[in-house]
Amino acid sequence: MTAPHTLSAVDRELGDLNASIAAMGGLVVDQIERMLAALHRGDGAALAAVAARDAEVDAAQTRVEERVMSVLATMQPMARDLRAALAGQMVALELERSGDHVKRIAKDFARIPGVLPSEVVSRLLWFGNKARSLLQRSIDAYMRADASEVGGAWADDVELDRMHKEFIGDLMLRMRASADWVDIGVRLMGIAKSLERIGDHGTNVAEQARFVAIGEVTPAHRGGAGDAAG
Amino acid sequence: MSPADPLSDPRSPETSAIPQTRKAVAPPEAAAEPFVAKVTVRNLDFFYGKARALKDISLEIPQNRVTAFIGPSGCGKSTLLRTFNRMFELYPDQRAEGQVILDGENILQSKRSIAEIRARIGMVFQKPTPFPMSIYDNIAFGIRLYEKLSRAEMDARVEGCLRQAALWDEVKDKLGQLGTSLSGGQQQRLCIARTIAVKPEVLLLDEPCSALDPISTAKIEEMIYQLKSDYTVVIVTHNMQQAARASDYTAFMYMGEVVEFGMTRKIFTAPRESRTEDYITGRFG
Repeated sequence: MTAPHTLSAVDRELGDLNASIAAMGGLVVDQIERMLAALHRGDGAALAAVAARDAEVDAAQTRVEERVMSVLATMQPMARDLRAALAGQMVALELERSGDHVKRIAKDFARIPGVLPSEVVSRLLWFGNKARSLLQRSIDAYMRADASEVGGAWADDVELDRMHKEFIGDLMLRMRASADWVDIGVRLMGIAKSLERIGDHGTNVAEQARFVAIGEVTPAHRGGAGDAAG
Repeated sequence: MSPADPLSDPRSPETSAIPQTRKAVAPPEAAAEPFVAKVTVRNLDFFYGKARALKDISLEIPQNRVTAFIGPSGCGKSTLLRTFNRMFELYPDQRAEGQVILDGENILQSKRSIAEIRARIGMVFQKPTPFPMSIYDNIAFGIRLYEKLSRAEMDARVEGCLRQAALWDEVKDKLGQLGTSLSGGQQQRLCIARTIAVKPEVLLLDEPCSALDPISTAKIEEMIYQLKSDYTVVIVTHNMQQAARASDYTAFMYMGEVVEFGMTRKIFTAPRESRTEDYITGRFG
């Protein structure tokens, strides 16, 4: 547990920054959940609402960035406090990009004609829930400044990459078998790619939690499943 | 306690927490960049009467680098600095035990005169202390004690010192005026010019900017940056931002001990010791 700062304004500023990140994280996770629920129901209106709500995510990012600027300009943070400010900016960027992917998925899905086979929808939902879970756990770890979550995030990311590859392979088979599937397949590939990218952003958030906790920047060649297990 | 992190090393390569039993210490990153110890402190204890103010300090001060000592009031940072040129000998109840080695010679046991030691290890204090004489003579006074120079040579030396101290442009037209007529920041730079006039190898700065405004402080910090190519600089400062800006290495001291010594950029972004982190983030001290 970090001791309180001698100057309480520093704790207030950092507390406000973390609160703004938590709020933004909650908003993005909620966006993913709404998107998945709408996708499950095939609810075009709900998907449109999700896409429109991305402006709120962008506004939340601006609030985080303003907090970061304020902390840096007025408090001259050092060490863990400095890392928290720098990582806060990065996490907001990861969350904003996740929000963009949610918006893209909502728009792409709304353009798919007809009704998708239930096993395709189930797979998308499974895939999406895995990405959501990874992002949620990474945000929680960030709020606790917990470095230990990163191993699990790396493992999940590898799993998401595998699921993505399998899903693309399945779509290719369908597209080869039927010309009707070409347009649908291309859109589903975009959706799958976006889900996989949300997983990447979630992993990056876990790496930022690790940075705040121990002060080490994650190497470019980060751990795969094997490393995470170590 | 968090589970083991797969990428974390048990020991950071760039900072050194100083264990109680550790002896002469160069920071671990010394292997990563050219590191030549100019001053080596070994098992140094210091006493104010019976009170032990420094406890078994071991430290290597790198040549041609700026090393900052930071820590709360009373931690021993100024005391440590003052052992480097035996300034403490001015006071009868104070004594140092251990070694402070400059280029292979323990200056605490040196048979050289105090004046010679202090010429090799110059010191600038918190409050500017110009002599009550002209700006020119403030510089020339010390040189005359050690060297016999012609007028032209002396003029060149005075100008060179004032240029190194980033003061020449401001005083070149009034060298005959009293040093005490200058502003506080200028007086401090004059004192630094006076100190480097006798060509010391090590420059000790004891809170040199604590009485100065931000612009004067910035000028001194810039000067420190320029001086390190010729001198080994050690600075004691209460100003954390100043230590972060102006130094290459930082030692954090607490209760007479060096808690952590390492590269400044590492100490101020990811110190290894929780006491260092708590201090530099303002959580105690």
